[in-house]
Amino acid sequence: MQDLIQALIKTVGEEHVAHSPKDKLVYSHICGPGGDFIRGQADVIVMPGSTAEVSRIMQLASRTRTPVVPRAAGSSHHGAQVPQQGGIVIDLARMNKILEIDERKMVVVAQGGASVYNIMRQLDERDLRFPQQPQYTSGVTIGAAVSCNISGVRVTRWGRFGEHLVGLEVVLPDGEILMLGSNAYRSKYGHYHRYMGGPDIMGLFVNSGGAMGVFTEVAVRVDHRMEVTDEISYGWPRDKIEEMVEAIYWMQRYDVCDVTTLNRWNYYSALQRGRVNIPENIEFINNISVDGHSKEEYDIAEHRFRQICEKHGGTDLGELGRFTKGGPRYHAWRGIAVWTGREFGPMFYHPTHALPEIYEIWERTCHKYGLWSPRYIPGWFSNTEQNVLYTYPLLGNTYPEDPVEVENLRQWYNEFHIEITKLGCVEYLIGDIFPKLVVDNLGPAAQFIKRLKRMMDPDNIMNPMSIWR
Amino acid sequence: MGLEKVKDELYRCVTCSQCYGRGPNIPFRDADDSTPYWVCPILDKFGFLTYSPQALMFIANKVYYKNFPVTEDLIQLYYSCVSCNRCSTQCTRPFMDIFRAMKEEMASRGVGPPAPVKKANENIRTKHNFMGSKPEARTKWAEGLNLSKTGEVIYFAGCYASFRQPAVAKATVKVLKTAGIDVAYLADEEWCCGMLAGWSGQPDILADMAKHNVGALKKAGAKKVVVSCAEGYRTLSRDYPQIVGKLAFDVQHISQTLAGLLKEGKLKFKNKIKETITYHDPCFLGRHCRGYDAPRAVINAIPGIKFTEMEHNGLFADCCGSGAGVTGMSYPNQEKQDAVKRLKEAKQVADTLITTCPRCTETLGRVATETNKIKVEDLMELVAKVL
Repeated sequence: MQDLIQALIKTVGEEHVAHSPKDKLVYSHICGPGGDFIRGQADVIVMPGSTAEVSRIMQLASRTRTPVVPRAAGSSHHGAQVPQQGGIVIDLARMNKILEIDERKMVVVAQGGASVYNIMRQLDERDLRFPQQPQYTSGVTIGAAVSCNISGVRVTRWGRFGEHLVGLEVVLPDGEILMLGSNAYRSKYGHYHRYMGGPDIMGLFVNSGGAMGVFTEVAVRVDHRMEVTDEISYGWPRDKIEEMVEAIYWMQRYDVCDVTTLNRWNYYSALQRGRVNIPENIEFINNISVDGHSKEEYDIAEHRFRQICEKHGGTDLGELGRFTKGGPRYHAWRGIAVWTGREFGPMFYHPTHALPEIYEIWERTCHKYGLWSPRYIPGWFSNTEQNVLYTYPLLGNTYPEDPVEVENLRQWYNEFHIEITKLGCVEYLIGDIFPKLVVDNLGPAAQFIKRLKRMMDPDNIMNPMSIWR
Repeated sequence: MGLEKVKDELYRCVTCSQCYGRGPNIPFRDADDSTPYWVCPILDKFGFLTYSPQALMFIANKVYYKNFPVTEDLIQLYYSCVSCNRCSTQCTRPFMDIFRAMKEEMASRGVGPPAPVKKANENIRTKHNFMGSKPEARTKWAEGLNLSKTGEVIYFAGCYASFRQPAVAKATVKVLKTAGIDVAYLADEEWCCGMLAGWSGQPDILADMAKHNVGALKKAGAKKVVVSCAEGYRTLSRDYPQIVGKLAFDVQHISQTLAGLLKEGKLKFKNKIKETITYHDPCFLGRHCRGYDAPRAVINAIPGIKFTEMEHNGLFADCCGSGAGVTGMSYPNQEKQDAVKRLKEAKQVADTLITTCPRCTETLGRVATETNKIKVEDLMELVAKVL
């Protein structure tokens, strides 16, 4: 390892290589189940400054069969950023340049380590925006946004981040620099279109959780900023969940910008502090983002969605959706986690109409394991994502240093996953924390992904914790 | 003592990585809470996640649960934090309490503070000033001013104004007297506020200073104590009550006193100053105590001044680099880098940089003399010119 560290220092400079015990400890740190269930420490952390340096690092790793884990903000829940088998952690924070914002072609190009929020500010100043608005922090990078295929506001209408990907530069496990999408053919016209006249190879890298390569340059389609954007909130009692699902379905059909369904627990700390007022009988809160190119267009849309909610028994909750700092439904999870402790939870897809059944499993299993209490704040969070629901219920206040606590959560986590997987729910990003059934359930498709991974990375050095090994 | 008092805060991190961010916290320029580009000062310098608030908190957690040793390697990590408190404005975690507790934990185990700070703390203990000057030199600035040692309004000059910037202390007395205030001064009964010790892991020294100063102020009949420096203001108003209980007097920063006097019409500025001026928010007055408006009110009341803000102002003001003195003494190069950055931003918008903390004035003034042509002045010096 010492030889490798020296070689890395020679590649990127001494100030960009860290390997003290405190550095190794910190780069193993993540929230959620990965942090609690998965342990591992890097041998060395390296911060390359260019694609060429990333390539040389990968060549060194490949030659020495050293595991490599790319890491950005580390806010993912799946443990993909934990160096379980040691080796090298690549932190792309130095590769943070916004390379181009083309207002005519509506494309932004940035290095893989560029802050998504920084890009959003630059777009905002040009009246542009990402079609779906990432809703994280300035720590999240655009490379990670592709690797984790992040969600955000307007995902109901526009889908996830990866769906707007135009081009990608990726360094493969053997150090080869591969250009995909618009990166493959760009010349005079630059970046403008995703497809290359063949299979959508870029899709292989989207949502890959750092298992296929290091993303060093990303081109993404952008959109014009809407003139008017606002949020309305409607609530439903627990026994009216079926009516609420009906309302969500109709809002989807009418091309709503975004709908997020939360349960009352999400507002627990705000209710305790008297910051919000929610009628006692309301269990579910739907925050509905509405937008329009003009005030008239907005008013028509808002009126339509209010009609749908009211027709299906919803109660107008006024300004509730906008109570948090940052405006519309800004980081509802912050209300759970930051005020109460860490956050922890599964993330999966299911059809909209399955919500009542899945919610019942959540309630039942949480009660069974003693998690339905203010200590854990079992907050439900479903994002309507095009015509399905992307659900990530969260538990706060876990005690990562308490083995009994962690084991209880692990058992709950497995039981919950097995039940929902059997019903046909599918995970958002599969990591090592999941029960085996989650992968087995994918059948031959999982085997095919593993074959591709072996072909690209025969020594399995690229994020070897990945389930696709 | 140490991490025990913050143990319930140590694991409360969701790794949202706002504190590891390099960009605006809210990316929309017209949002109510729109913010400028922001990066934690030590993260900006060292780059690695290790130097982010979440990491400092995470390591403290591991230390508390005895899963990580306290070694010399941690000194640079915790003492290079400038305690600017910007992380705590972006996250609900009480980072400052945690980092102070960690430094106490380290010091109690014989690791840290860095040698220059340790020496300064010893000076506080033995000579009641961090410079190690003779205690009797403290009152030299007040010679000839005939200040009473008892009274309802007492000026607490602090070490910086007393020993290094007597002009600031003299200007303060002049301004208060002009406004008709019968200001008193503890003289040799005024000791160091103890801030440096409190922020570098030696709270026992801070406690000694608190007990003495509060006793002396009480004995002098204080109803209101006016403090020159931002750090002293925070220490007297926030730390002292935790050590000695509720204070029998109000504590005001001089900028707050002046803003009040202006509002009441007791203070009027006669002369004009035709300069473009910007203001540097001292971290310990601004983010630590939310004291943003009073200094600006005073500056804006001066006839002829054109006031402009730097990009990073108020809640998002950058640190001068001194880092409560802890960082400046331990890592002077780091202090200089921060000061250069701050001065560069100031120079883009103004001819003169005003601040209202003698420590900030000294740090920025010193580096400005070396590297930059912008004029740096304390608010009191500015005000004294227009009476």
